[in-house]
Amino acid sequence: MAFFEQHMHAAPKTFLSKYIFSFDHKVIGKQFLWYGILFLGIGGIMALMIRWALAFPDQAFPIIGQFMFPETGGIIPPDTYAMLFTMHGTIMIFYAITPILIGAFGNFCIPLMIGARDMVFPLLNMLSFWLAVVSGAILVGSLFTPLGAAAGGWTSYPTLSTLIGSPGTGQTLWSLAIFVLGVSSTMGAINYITTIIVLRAPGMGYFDMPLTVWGLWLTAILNAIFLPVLGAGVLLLIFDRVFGTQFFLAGAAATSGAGDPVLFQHVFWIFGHPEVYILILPAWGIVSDLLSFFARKPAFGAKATALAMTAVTVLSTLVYGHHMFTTQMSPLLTQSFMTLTMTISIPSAIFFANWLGTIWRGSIRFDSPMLFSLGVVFVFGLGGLTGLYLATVTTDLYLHDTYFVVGHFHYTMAASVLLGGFAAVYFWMPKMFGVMCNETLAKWHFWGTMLGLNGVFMGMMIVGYAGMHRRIYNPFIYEHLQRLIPINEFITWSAILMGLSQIFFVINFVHAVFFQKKKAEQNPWNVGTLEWTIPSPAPNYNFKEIPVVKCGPHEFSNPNLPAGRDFQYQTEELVKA
Amino acid sequence: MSTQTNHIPGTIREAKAIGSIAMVFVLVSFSMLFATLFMGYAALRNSAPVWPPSGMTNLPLLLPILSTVFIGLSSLTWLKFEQTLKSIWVQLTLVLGLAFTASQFALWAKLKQQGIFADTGVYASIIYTFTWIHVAHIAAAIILLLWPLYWARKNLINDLRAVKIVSIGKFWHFLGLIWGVMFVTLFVL
Ligand SMILES: [Cu+2]
Repeated sequence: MAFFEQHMHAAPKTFLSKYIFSFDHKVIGKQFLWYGILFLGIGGIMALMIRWALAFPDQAFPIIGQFMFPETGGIIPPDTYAMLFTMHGTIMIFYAITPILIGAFGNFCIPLMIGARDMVFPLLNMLSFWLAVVSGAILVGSLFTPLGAAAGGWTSYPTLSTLIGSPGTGQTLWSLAIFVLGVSSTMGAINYITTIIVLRAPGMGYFDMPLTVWGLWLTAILNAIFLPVLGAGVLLLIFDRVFGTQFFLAGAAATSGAGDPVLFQHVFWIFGHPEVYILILPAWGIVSDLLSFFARKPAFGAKATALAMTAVTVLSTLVYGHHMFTTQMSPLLTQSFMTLTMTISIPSAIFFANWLGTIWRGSIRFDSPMLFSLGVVFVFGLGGLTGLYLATVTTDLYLHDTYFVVGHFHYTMAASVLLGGFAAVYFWMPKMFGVMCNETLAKWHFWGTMLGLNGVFMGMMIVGYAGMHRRIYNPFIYEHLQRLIPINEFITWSAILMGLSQIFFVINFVHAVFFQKKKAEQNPWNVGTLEWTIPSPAPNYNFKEIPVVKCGPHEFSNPNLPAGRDFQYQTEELVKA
Repeated sequence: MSTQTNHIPGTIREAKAIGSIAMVFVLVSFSMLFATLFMGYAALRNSAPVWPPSGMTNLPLLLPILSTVFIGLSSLTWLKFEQTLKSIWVQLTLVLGLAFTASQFALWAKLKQQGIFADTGVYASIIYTFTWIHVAHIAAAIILLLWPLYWARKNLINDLRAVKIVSIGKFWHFLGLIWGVMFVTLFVL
């Protein structure tokens, strides 16, 4: 089915062409991985500062507080607090999770798993990464502007984000950074989509693709369609701020014919709801594959899983109004959005049941990628179910903008995506860097992260249900929140546990990449997809001969296999009795 | 996309298929950008008590008509170029594209003369912003046209470059189409 066979890359010779301006999808994937991990660290420290302010509002932030906020003696000031939650959300969503799941593993996995030598447009791929770097530099630069970074929330609703709400250049730079990143991701998306359509190895039909590739493909399609919507929105916001246009101004701020602040919310969420699925689809795909790989069983209903993910993708474009139930939307619309949102639970339940079907009575190997995948199943189940209360108009009117929302969306698009990302790092480590991670440290990392994140996000849902509003600086000055102080402290301690657990990951990862001498085997996990038919780490041309695909990606424990083997490669004819 | 020279296309039919598949998604992306702008326009216009908002004088119609003629003709000269691959037709397309851009600058000057600036109100915001964004795309497309011009003048057009010429053409026609929608909705209606 491949349209054409690509040239073999000549091996790059100079440092610049090998590590910096590389056309190689594997190198670009690694560049995105480092980029994402760096921002994950920055966003994580911001999260700890937010949590510190919510539990110990009048104590100095430990270690770096004195140095960062000398004028308050180390206590996080209120305006900085608003910048922190804004930048935490922005960085985690656009600069940590997107680069790791889509930038790194999209780039690394797609050509290897479909049997191609590279992406179809390698130059476009490189430009996409360097535009992302430009965008990251703009965003980091905005932290050092006179009035500080953007502080209107990651959703940056007007009027918080217009000149009235944020007079500083921080918000303008924020909008610009998001616009540039949108261009970068759209370029990547067009590359991914085209690559998957035209470069699949001969014999590989769409349902012979690993589900990882399915997830990344659907994500890329959503990206190509909806990132330009956000792009248009932030462009108009920039014009409002810089050229004095009046799209999002109303009332006394508008001179002739009023704009509409709520218009931005529509534009934002037309993009924003699909964005949730843009983030989670790659993790769903990866987990669908890994559960089968480590349960040594064919993925249960793999075709149904792929189609269910496609159905979610389609439905995700029709439900954005559930973020705006409190904007005086007509009841006719709220009811429609509620019904459509609820409909998503049908395909979600299908693939969720398929995950359980996959591990049911499997001979499960509890290696670190599997632990993280099972973690995804657990936290995504919780996150998905709590979404129903927010999709329902009557309960949402009460829960809107409380910590229940914060807990819910962290379960779905932070916890499950993060765990999926870690599963992917541990799983593809040998193919990416040619070494294995230390299993013991990886398991410590898993349990610390898992316990910590459940403490944090479960706690958030409880305080939210009890009425604690999001984005408030010091909750304890409100009488009705006094009794929530112990839970808030518990959440913060859980966050600290989760944060400290990442040290296991950093040590493990850095040691494996730079200091590990022992080379990994070609196929340490005994898996049959195409990337495991080539040496570890993958050579710069990927495949000497373009492979011919003869069976699906999840052929495990076939009773007709010869003794001592429980899997077969996708390049082998399906064994029959 | 110049990177395709890194590969050996099995046949030219396959290169064409890759070009058209990628262009479908490129154009979908750009369409969504402009669709969002038009959606915002529709929402603002339909929720306003009067349209155009009070205080707005009549917009000049002659210059937009001229722009429409330029960009319409440029699509025709481009089609001719795709058939003949003669450099005169790509030159004409380029001149018409520049004329279109000039007519847009004239339009902005005229608006300013009438006292209509980007911050004059939401209607003025829409006119300026939409034309700015569109002209920025036209400028990018004009730069893209320089390659076919060079190839045509130096007789360097081969089958693979012909595929690229078709892709650039699709983008050019797309921008013409967007202008058509803008002309009708912003200036005529
Ligand atoms: Cu949503």
